[in-house]
Amino acid sequence: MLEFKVSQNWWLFATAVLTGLVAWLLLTPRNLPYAYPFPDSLETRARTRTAAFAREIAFYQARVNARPDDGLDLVALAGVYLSKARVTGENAWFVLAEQAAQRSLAALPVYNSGAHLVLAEVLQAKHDFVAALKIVAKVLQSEPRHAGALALRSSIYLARGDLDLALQDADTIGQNNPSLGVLVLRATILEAQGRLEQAEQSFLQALKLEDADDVFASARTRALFGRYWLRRGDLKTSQLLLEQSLQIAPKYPLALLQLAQLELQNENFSKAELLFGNLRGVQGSPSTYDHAALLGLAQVSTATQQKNAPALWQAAIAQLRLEVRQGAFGHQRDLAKALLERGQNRDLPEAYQNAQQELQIRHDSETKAVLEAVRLRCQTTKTNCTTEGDK
Amino acid sequence: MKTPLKFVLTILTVALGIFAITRASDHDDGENDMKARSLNLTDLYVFREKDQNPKIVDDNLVFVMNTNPRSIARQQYSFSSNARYEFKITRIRDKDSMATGKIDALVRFEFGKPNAKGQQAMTVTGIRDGATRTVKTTATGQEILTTPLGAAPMMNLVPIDTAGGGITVFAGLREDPFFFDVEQFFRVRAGLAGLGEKVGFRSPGVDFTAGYNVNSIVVRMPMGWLVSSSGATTFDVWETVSVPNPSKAGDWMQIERLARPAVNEGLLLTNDYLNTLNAVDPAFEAAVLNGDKAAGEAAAPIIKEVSTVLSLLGNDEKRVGALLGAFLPDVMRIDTTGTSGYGNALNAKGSPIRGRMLKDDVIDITLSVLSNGGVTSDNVSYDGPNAGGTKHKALLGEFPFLAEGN
Repeated sequence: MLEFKVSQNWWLFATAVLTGLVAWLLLTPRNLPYAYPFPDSLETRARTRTAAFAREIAFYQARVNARPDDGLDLVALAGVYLSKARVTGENAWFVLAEQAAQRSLAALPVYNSGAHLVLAEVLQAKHDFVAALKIVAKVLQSEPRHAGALALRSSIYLARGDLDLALQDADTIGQNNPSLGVLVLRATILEAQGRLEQAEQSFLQALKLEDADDVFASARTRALFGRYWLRRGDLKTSQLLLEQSLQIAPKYPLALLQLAQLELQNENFSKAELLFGNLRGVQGSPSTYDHAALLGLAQVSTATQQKNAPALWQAAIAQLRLEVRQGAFGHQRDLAKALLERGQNRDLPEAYQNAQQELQIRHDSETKAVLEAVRLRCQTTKTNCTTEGDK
Repeated sequence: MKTPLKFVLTILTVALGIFAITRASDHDDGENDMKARSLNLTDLYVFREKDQNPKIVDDNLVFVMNTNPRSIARQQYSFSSNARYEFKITRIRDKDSMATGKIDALVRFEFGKPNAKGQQAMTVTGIRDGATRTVKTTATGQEILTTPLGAAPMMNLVPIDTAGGGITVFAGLREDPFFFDVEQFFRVRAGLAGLGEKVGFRSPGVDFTAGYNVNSIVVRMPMGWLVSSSGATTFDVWETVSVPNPSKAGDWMQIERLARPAVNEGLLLTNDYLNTLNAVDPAFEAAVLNGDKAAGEAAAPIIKEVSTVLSLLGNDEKRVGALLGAFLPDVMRIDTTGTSGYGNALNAKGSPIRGRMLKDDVIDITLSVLSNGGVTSDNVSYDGPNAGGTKHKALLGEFPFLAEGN
């Protein structure tokens, strides 16, 4: 009897060890198909990346100081500022990029598509898609297959909901240049089209083309792939990807935001609050992530029935209103969503107006869904949301 | 001295065509986020070692492939660990014959992932007359390694010859030896095309690559390995970069090709055509010139555009035809019986046939040839002083020759 018990316990113990080992193997990032392939250089690169950005900026600033009318150096400086803006989301970098590109164009008004594309990307960040597309069209007129111009146009089409056009441009680039960047772009378009199997495949193909020097491309890919799984409800895979993204690029706001939303969805409110707070605190100056962080904090406060919930909603909505009013990096759809979510009938006309205005520049499914939700709420609450102009 | 009018007219012919795309050369590709810098080729150099180092008595050729344009000073950059970097070589019996694009020999470099110091292990593959030999270690059994920035050059003796011979390989960051006042060229062209103020070249000109590094693969190759039993003394060389085809496992897609400076980029206005040429080998151009119908149809718009550019440069129909024959197929031909140097000798078709040395002023030579001697210089040189007092570092006296990275 005793012998049987020992034997039984031994098996239980062995099963537990084996299960643990399998779980460890499965969950260890190195063994996943999307594990970061350059772990040996990661520590060095993570440590030196901020310094590298600073060095790059200093390098081009010195060149520009030596030759203030050098259009090529100015556009190179604009490019570095733009990279910094993409990574941090800080508005100031967009402004600096815009200024340097304008100076570059003043010095070299023609044959300077790089400067035009910087301006177009800044306009895209401000959601001025029409103006951005005009610039891109001008570049493509002289260089019909300019990969950067096509990629920018594709991402604008994606943002506007013109998904077939977006995919067409991405595929054009991919025919000659199957890079990580274009495969990620393709994946996000396919995801928006609901072609999930192909989207997932494209993400996985992108991860096979990672470049050791471009750590932020690796971090961004995992953040977007993590978002993909978050939207599909696979929180475990999403979390692994997002945590890897943050391991590659600590404090990377895109990954921080997705991870905060994951924790919110997972009802880990304290973690979510901490992450949204971190997102708010990462940047020293206004950033394109500010409203998302404030909204997240407001959502957490409502979910946990905090007393300061109304104040947090007010802060988030005030931030969104400010951004929309300034016309810089404004998100009318997000404002409409926030007003709807706050749950006050008096906000509904403003939400309706913002959603409708956003729909004029982007007719994607998300914007349509927001407008529809506002319209429905207006009907059920019998709130008059339309203005004379709408009738 | 040229009269201002003549100077303006000659500049106009050049300005309208030769660099009509917005890039000066492949050096500008690096800012494109859709393509990693490590996958961009900037230049190819091929020369007899003894012409760079008179102390050398052996018959070696030196091949230089430069990548990663605009690498800034004191920043470590890597070679792509996904790509294949390749030198492709044809043995030529008659230096006046048209290039065929046939690959008689190939040397391929594949890089491992960088370690904490940024150093990468290499796999070198030599393919000669269909026989392949892949090598992962040096003749002394060590890993074949890149040289990290700031370290002494690592010379890897790689035994790609089963008979015991080998090539010497260096890979790492070096100062970019290319020089060109590209921005002033844009201004000149804009002015003469009626798009801006009319200006000429500056004197001295601004060297836009000053201060930049490139990631170089430098190979010292014994002539014996190349010649084998053929007895050839002339070779056509070109370089390519390929990446895995994401849609077809095991397949490789060629995304870059380069041989003579400023040919693909200089003679084509439309990026679509440049992309087409990046994806094919010189054999494609040879087939076109030999009257292959399918290739001819595919290349017709490309040939038409090149012809238009050459006409705009002031060349009559006969000379356009001659220049097409001289510059296409795009290969770097090196006749090893004479001193290396881009402008040192032309063959009967007018093609440069003595390779390219590191200090050769290829822009001046190209401007001069394509404008029929109308333009002779952009007033920039390797040794300077160029505008702002810039100059390139002195070359090393021995292999790998390129100056240390900034």
